[in-house]
Amino acid sequence: MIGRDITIGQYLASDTLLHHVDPRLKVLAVIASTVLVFVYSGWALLAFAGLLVLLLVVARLPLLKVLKSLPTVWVIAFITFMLQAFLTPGEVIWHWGFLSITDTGLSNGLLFSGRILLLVVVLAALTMTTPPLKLADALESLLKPLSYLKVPVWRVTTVVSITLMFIPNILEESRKITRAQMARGADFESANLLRRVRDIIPVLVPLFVRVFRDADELAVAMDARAYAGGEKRTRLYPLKIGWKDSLGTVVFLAAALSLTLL
Amino acid sequence: MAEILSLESVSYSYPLPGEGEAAALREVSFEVEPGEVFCVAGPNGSGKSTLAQVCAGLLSPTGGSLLYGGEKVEGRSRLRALRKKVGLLFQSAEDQLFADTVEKDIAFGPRCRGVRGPELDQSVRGAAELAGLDLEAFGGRSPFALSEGERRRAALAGVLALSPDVLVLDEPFIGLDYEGRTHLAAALTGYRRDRGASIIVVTHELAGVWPLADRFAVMDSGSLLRVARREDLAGAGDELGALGMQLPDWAVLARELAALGAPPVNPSDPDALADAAGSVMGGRR
Ligand SMILES: Nc1ncnc2c1ncn2[C@@H]1O[C@H](COP(=O)(O)OP(=O)(O)OP(=O)(O)O)[C@@H](O)[C@H]1O
Ligand SMILES: [Mg+2]
Repeated sequence: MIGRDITIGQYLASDTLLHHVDPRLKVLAVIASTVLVFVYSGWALLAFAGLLVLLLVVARLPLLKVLKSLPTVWVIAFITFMLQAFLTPGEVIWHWGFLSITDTGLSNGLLFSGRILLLVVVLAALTMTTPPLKLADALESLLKPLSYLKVPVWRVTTVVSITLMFIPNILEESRKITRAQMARGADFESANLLRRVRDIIPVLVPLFVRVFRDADELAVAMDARAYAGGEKRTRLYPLKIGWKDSLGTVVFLAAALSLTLL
Repeated sequence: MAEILSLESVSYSYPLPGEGEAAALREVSFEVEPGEVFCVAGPNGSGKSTLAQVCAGLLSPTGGSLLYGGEKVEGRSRLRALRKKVGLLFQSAEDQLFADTVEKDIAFGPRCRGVRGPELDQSVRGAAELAGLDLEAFGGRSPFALSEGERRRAALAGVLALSPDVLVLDEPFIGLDYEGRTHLAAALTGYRRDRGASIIVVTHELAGVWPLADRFAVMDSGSLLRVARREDLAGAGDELGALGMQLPDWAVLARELAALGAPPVNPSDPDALADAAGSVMGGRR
């Protein structure tokens, strides 16, 4: 059935270890992990994946559920794998008609699809454990140096945080509209792919109408409540980095970096 | 049994982000007979819209089962078949409209079913007329540039164009003016008579459906409290009041008059009510 799963970008109201880590440290760790996912390959990447999985298991994030709920990611990873495996020149290890898999193709395919999956896991771990508002605060705090260059950082982060907040709503709306269109003849489960693609339009149009209207209303509502934004805005819960957070992050980064030695 | 749609201890829970779920329907059972107008009444948040979507095969029950024509609706193909038989008007019309003109929008459903040419034209016209929408005036306009009431009529026409055997309407009377409500009531009566269709009306406001509905299901917090015929529900004003709902004033009046010995009258006819009142007061009018 449509939409009975967790989705990427969604915050998980729960109380895991990672929920308590300062969002700025998490953002930094995610940036570092992203870089490492692209730098590492072979055993180092495998070990890094192990480290990440270990961390997520210790934190008791429902990792499998997340991965299961992302069929698109699997499709992308699979296509990446196939393209690499079949199209990379090298020593042929298997062939059928004009199709052949090479050894470099196979290892490249595994590498690239593995990187995609790891990136998704890393990002999902961040958004699942960090409420959108905190994430925006973290970004604002991290981007602070840019404001000396007259970049309106708070505008950017407000936009980011509102977007993040709205993602679950938009998903819920799109599910509802999908059902509404199914009730009047649209067929999203048809075997005919062309038809399924065509029937997306009846979902997208009402969705856009809603989103734009909601955005308009939100702007008016924020105005009406005298939202001014800017540097002087205060916070109910200012961010604070505890020593445990810092220590944990340092240990994680140290472990991740030491994998270079592999 | 002859019922067309029946629910057997149907439960539905919405999954919440993360762990947990929100129960919206708890073991609801009832049957809808062919050609019947069945009203599901309940206060805000009682699970009516969820129930409507379950009946239309858009949400699969998380417990219990749904039967159509005596057969259990199970699996994808049965569910798809059910969706072709049952039409649902959503609570907010905006979820259903999308095309650049009202006429194309109404035609969307039949087109999906492969209807073309004059036959398509005919079903669009028929549906617009039933829904009380003036196709000459609105057919070429964008559905998003309509008033709320006009939009609701357009959405209703879009559902009627599929001529479903079971028509489920979520709050169809809300947002319509007096003319719109009387037209809708007449149209529903006509639709049921001409097609022998069953109609399920979901609402928290009894006044609009009162004269139409044969039976009423009263819901609260996801549970079905009772299914009652109109005559029986007329005596349940206090029970409804406790739920935050209200019997229509004239229905209460008709019942009080009947208790005083007046002949039973159609409560939505003011003249008949006045006559009944007169007969109780000894011929004075
Ligand atoms: N998408 C959803 N996710 C989680 N809970 C939901 C969702 N939609 C509805 N609910 C909950 O399910 C319950 C029933 O909702 P439903 O929309 O069926 O009520 P309703 O009787 O139609 O109310 P109304 O008269 O306001 O339209 C409510 O408690 C509501 O909060
Ligand atoms: Mg509702």
